[in-house]
Amino acid sequence: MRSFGKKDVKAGVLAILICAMFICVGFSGCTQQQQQGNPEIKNPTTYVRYDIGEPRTLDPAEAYDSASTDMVFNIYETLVTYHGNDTKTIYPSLATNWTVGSDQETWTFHLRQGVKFSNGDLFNASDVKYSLDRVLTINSPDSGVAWILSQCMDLNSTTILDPYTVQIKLKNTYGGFLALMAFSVASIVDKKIVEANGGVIANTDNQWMKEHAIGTGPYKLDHWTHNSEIVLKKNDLYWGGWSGNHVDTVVVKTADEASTRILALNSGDADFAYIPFENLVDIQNKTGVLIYNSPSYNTVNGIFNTQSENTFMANKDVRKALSYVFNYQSAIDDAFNGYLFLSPGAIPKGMPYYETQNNGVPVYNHNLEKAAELLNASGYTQTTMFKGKLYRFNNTAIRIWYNSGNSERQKMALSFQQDLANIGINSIVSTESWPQYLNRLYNTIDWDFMFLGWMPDYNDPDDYVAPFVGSAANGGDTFHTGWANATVDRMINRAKFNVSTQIRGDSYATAFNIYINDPSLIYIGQESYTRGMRTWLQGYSYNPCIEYYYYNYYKAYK
Amino acid sequence: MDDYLKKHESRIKDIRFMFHLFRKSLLSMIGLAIIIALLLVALFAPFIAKEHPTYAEVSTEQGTTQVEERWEIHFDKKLLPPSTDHFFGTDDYGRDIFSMIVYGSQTSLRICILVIAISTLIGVVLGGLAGYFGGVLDEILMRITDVFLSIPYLILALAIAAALGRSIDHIMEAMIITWWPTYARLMRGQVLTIREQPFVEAARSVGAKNSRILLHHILPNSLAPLLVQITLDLGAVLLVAAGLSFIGLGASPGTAEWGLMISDGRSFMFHAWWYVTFPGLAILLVVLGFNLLGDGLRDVTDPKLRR
Amino acid sequence: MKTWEYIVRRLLLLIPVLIGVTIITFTVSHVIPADPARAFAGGPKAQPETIARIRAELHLDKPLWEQYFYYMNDLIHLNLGKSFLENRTVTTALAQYFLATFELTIFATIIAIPFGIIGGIISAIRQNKLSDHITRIIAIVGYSLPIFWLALMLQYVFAYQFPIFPLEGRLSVGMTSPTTFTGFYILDSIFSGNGAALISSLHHLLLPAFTLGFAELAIILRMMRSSMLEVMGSDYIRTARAKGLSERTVIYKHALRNAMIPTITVAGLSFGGLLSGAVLTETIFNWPGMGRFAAHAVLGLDFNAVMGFTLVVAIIYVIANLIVDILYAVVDPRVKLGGG
Repeated sequence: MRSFGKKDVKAGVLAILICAMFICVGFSGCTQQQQQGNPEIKNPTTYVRYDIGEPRTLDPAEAYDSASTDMVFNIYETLVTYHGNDTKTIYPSLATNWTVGSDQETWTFHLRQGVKFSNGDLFNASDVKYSLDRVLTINSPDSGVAWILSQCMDLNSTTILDPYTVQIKLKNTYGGFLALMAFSVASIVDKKIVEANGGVIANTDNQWMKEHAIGTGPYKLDHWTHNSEIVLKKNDLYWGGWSGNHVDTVVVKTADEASTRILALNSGDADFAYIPFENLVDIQNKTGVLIYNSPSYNTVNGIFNTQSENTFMANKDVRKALSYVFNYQSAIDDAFNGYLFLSPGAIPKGMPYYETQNNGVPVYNHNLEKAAELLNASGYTQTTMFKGKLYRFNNTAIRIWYNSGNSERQKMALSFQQDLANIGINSIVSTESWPQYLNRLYNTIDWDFMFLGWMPDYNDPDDYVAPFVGSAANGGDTFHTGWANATVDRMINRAKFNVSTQIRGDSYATAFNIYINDPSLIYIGQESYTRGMRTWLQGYSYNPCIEYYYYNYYKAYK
Repeated sequence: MDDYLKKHESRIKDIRFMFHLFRKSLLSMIGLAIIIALLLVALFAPFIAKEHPTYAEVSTEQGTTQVEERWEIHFDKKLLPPSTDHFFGTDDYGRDIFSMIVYGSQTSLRICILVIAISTLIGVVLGGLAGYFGGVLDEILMRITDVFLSIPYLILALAIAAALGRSIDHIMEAMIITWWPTYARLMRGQVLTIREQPFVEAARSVGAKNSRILLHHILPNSLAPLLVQITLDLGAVLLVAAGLSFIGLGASPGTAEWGLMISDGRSFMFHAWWYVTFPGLAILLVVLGFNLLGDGLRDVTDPKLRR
Repeated sequence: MKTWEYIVRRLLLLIPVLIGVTIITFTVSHVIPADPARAFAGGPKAQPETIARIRAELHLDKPLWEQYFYYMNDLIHLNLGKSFLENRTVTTALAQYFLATFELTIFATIIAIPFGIIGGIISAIRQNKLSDHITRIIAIVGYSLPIFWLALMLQYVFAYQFPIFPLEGRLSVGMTSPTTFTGFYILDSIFSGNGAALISSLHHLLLPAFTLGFAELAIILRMMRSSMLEVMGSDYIRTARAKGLSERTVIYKHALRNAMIPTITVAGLSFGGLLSGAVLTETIFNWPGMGRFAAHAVLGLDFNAVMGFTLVVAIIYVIANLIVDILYAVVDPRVKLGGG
């Protein structure tokens, strides 16, 4: 969900699409495995999650990473929201109903009456205007999240019609406006509280709001011990009430070690935990524990540096050969423990126009003979002797990098290295910290092959094809491959600014046929969203728009 | 020759006596045995291990070339428990942990010896000069060592190694930067004591050159305490190096380095206890060996303890 | 020289040392070829404006000496800069983590010193007996153990195979931390009369504190043993024995006091080892202290945090040594402060 915008791209796409800003994968359901014999429920009214990292802030006007928005979604409320795992329909929340004018730019929201903030302050229209304007004024320097609202709103947009009606007049039509209003950045804060604690200063984040939170949502902040735990307690004043099944305490613990999270989950101390792929075996077949998984749009990519000082990397046959060397099945089985599925090209499964990519069948497979054939044909034969083995490229090593701590990438890298050695290509696998890794990718040419993932900003192939294979000049090439093709650029732009399904499909197909035969990336696959969970936890389902909504949770066996 | 022996008679006697004491101490002999065993394992690794790395030549960021080891991956054999095929089990890449520990002894030895040798060299030269000539040089050196010694070893090495980037060479450089001040201090202290001894005075009065006094009188007489410190530090260096590797700053992925193996094995601790256990035992054993040896040496060279 | 004069002089000498420390850490952390600004701004999807703003905020666009000047200027105002990993100032972060680390190290010392001293005495008075051999072996294994491996083994045995201790953290899940008076959970729970929190925090402290303290215990034990042996062989102890004093009196009244002096020194010096050990122990036991913060910062290249941590550790370490020197003079009146 951490997503950063490319405004230029949006201008084209957004007018024509039913834009769900934060989106769900449109295929297949979730699988759950249930075990026999139910252990006694621990902490029956408390939900405990063991996770990595922690929020950067609790301020809705700053929150952008998923850990921060998670807290904001449960402490604050937005005018409209999503329910369950449905990402298509938008439901009322602080607004009970709304209308849009014929110009598609004037929105009127009727607000829920009698709603109180957790400190007892009454919620009304002035809080709405204050909150939205505040986001635009602060323009959070620490996260830059304000762009989400500023693409269609400014300080004149919001007007108070009466204490329970607000009108929002957009700068320009925006198909996904309601989706924006459902994102955490549009959460409603208490005007009185903010004014009493630093108020609003242009282009400056509010230090108090980073650490404190008072909203109308079902939970209120109990305490936050940095890098240790955040505890939420139920908000007795919540307008939704507390009848029915709800957990009344939420504990999110930071535990960076996988072993800690595994043990906590298996012992029942945790109800929910992030478990890396390689450790899923530790929670498989454990009584009372299940592996929750759901398809996602997160893709795994290998990146070629076509501008490397190793000039053979500029040769498309070399890159094709390398695409044949990569062992896709081993990536699925050994690196991702089966929670990865192949993808033929840039567009992930579940998005429109996926089928334009060779009908969804991957073009490359693990085929060392084919790779050797391609290399020999290009004149890169095994000529250099070292310790009894013959090497290609005068024994020059291909420099493979991954960021340290990422064990899936480590497995893929080392296995790639072994396969390369088998056809006489020397390589060196190295790792470094994330900031150094990014520096290498963006500011140097001292690499030949790297790994990076991609998450969506919006539910359209444009969010994948343009940054992946578009040229830098056309606002693409996010991975710094240095690859560019004029026809592909033309096709990207044609698909972007066109409504016709036929034309868009044709454009993506044409682009695919070019970029897949002169590959700048290895399209390794698409990850599953995978978490470990106790079977006694009810009410959870994965919604990429609002990852966790604790009010729905309760602990019981079904 | 005979003359030489006579001149040094007392010292030779002394050394003989020390040797005798050393042999009498069981723990010291155990330490010696462990270290000899380590040397043999490192030397004969190809004959002891069941799996062997291959080697590839790669160029480094600095433009030099180096030979790197590669271990064959067999995902189908991953995380097998100890058996007669794999004495210490296999890791998550299906590599034989026993073989990796055997080859890892080479890496460990290389780290210990290089770090200590170079820091001793720097420390002895700088400390010796500073102590002998005194004055401004001494003052500057002492202030610099003050700074280095005001940060615990691991933490200073951590900061430096983080900056240099992940590789064994870099943690060695970091540790040399961290360790030389200890030797500089030690050497300076020795020089200050020995400088005032009658035999040095005598040499000076007959017009011996500074270089001769330093090399022939002061250096040989500071060897014993240096040697003790070196032996004890060899273990400490191994521990710090392993700690840095464990945090994720040391050896590059896929190489047989004990600290790295523990770090990698940590996420599999609950269903593959052997993965973290055996590399740790290897570190413990070797450090124990160095410490037993060092303790033994200290006991026999320190006259106060020689009873 | 009077004691306070000596202390002031030592504290003044601390200043050049700390400037030196800042120069080392600064140089080290600024020669890294890394792109922290982009990492802090969100990685591959970072907006150019955010990257540029962070670069300016970190003065990354200025020459190195100028950056150092900015850093020192901030430092004089007790501003250690911002930790980008945590999105708050390094000072706030360290203030929070310091107390957790302090509680852990104090507890480790509480385990190490008494057991080390008692073990050392037993070992010395029963020299070459079985109990001597056993304690010596414990000691030598103690300072040969890789601390991170010990931590993992303890976790495996006592938190996984026989789950009698918690794996990590400071308090049980769902337990609210005691009202803060001191920041030490143990003291706070006693002051606020929160028995459950007291038990839980002690329960959580034991494994990490033992891990951390074990090496120190070993060092103290060894020192205590050898200095006891040395003292007991000395002339005045022989005299005392000759005078017909009981062995008990000889040991506890005469030998012990003198043997304590070098032990105190060693205990003080090994405090540096505790701080180093805290980096590894806290990471493994998920103890929310400075050490874990530093390990994260090092791997994430959050260099303001790394520099702040190193500086604080240097200050603590130097002050600990100063305290040792003063204690030394108190225990042994023959030692004159500032004498050399």
